[in-house]
Amino acid sequence: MSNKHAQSRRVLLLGNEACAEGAIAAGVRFYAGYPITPATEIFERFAYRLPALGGVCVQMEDECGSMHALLGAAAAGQRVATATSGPGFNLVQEGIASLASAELPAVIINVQRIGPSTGSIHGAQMDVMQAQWGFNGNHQTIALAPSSVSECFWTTVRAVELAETLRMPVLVMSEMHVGLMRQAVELPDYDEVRIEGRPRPTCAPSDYRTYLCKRLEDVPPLADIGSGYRNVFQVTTHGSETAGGGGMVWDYKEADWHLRHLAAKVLHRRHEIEWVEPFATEDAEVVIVAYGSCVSAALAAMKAARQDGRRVGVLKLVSLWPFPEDAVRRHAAKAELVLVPELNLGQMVREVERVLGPSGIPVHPINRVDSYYMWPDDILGVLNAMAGR
Amino acid sequence: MRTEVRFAGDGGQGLVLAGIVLAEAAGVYGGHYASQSQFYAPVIMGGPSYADVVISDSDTAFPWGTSPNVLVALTQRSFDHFANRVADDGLVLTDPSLVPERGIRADRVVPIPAREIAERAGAAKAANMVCVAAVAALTGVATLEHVQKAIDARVPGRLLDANRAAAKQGWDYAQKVLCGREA
Repeated sequence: MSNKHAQSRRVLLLGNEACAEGAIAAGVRFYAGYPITPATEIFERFAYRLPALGGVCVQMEDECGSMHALLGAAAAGQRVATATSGPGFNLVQEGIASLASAELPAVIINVQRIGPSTGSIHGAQMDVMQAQWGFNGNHQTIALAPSSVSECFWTTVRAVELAETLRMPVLVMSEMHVGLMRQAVELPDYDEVRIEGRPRPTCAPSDYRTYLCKRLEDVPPLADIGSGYRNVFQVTTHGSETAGGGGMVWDYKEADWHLRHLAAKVLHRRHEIEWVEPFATEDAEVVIVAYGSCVSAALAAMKAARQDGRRVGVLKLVSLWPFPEDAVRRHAAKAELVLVPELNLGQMVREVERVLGPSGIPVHPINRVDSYYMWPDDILGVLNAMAGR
Repeated sequence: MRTEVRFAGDGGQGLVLAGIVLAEAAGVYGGHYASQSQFYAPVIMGGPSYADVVISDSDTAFPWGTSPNVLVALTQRSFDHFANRVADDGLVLTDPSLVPERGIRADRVVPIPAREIAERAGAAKAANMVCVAAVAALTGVATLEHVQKAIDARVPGRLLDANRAAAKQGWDYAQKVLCGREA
């Protein structure tokens, strides 16, 4: 359904529509996709909005095709996005790896549903590990997880900026519960949404190399195809000064550079990428570490527990990858117990355990996989049981 | 203050549209926190379906339904399934012509001839908007003006007049019920 108030400030929007609007506000003008529930509204919104903005929205033959259309459009200088869900997220993995290796920017929105495989059209957070480990090779991913309609907008804006400035695919890990929820939200004037773009070459075309940079953590400047600079994009392992050919690299030093560079350009900036929001963690004996749709249940449980005189806090994770480990360590430092509610059988809890393990703070998972959102009572029940009530 | 409304019935009765109109009236035009979600069976029409609306003063309100303060039940099946799950002080708004068996305490049930009112307004299909306006009047979460503004924005043109009229008459009917209750 079209929304007749797209330009006014306060609107009722689907989470999915807000993802599309965020991308558009951040300058995305190319979308290639394949429809799939519960992500199709993102596609529909782009199809409705992009032609009037001079952009292109194209339905491809499948998700693999979508990803490679993004690759070409990104190389030609466009800000690009696609959206999918569940089984489609399996199919985009090859493209994510290609974009990562070729160092081309794109935003991939995954509105998670239950799996494995076709699974069902139910809400879930079951692909959060796949976001980091779903593709082959050793690429450090960036993934953001919205917990509300407003965050659908702003995580997508930020995802476009991170993709462009770091020349890489960035994931928005939405969920059916968030994507198919409508909320009244304030949208900014899109002219006020200013994001940094990709780094551009300042050298002469003859000195330009697609991957040339000084330090491992640098992001090589990127020239558009057709701009007079010669690009050689490589999905094969390559060195920094590679001039072309596109064949396999046999030099172990170049392989070492390539893999360490892909990790370093992200991890060197991990504190800029880190996006968390603490709620009353200063004095908290129990800290609930939550992301996505579980944040609402965590906040409601915190409110009820605080009214009961119990010192409970919440650490909301918006950035999931790279895992915001310093923030988790900092905000759980004084906790006697950390709870991790998730709509899976325990995925991000492994990261929390890894980070807090040395401190000895017990970490307790709370899991739902029955298609419902996390209820405040699911968390309160565990809090009560732990307090011996 | 948190108000939860659930519109429940079968696919094709305009339950999701009812939820959208109420959420837009309260959230966009009324400036409250408003969140709307839905459930429907994987069929186009005729399967069980419901839409939830949460309206609150708090920006961090739990956005999904827990136990509704007002249930609008437009099929016997949805009444039987949800009527006992309303909040302690909750109400069940229902059309007796659609829900003949109402086996809960009579003071919890607000009967409203929504289909008949909608037919008089010009389209039996607009029974959903009769209920939206009645819920707004009974709970105070939105004004009639804001409900009608949301109808203007969300309902297709050829059914606009009937839907606006249905909302007006639903509002008036609920006002009368309220007066009756207060007297």
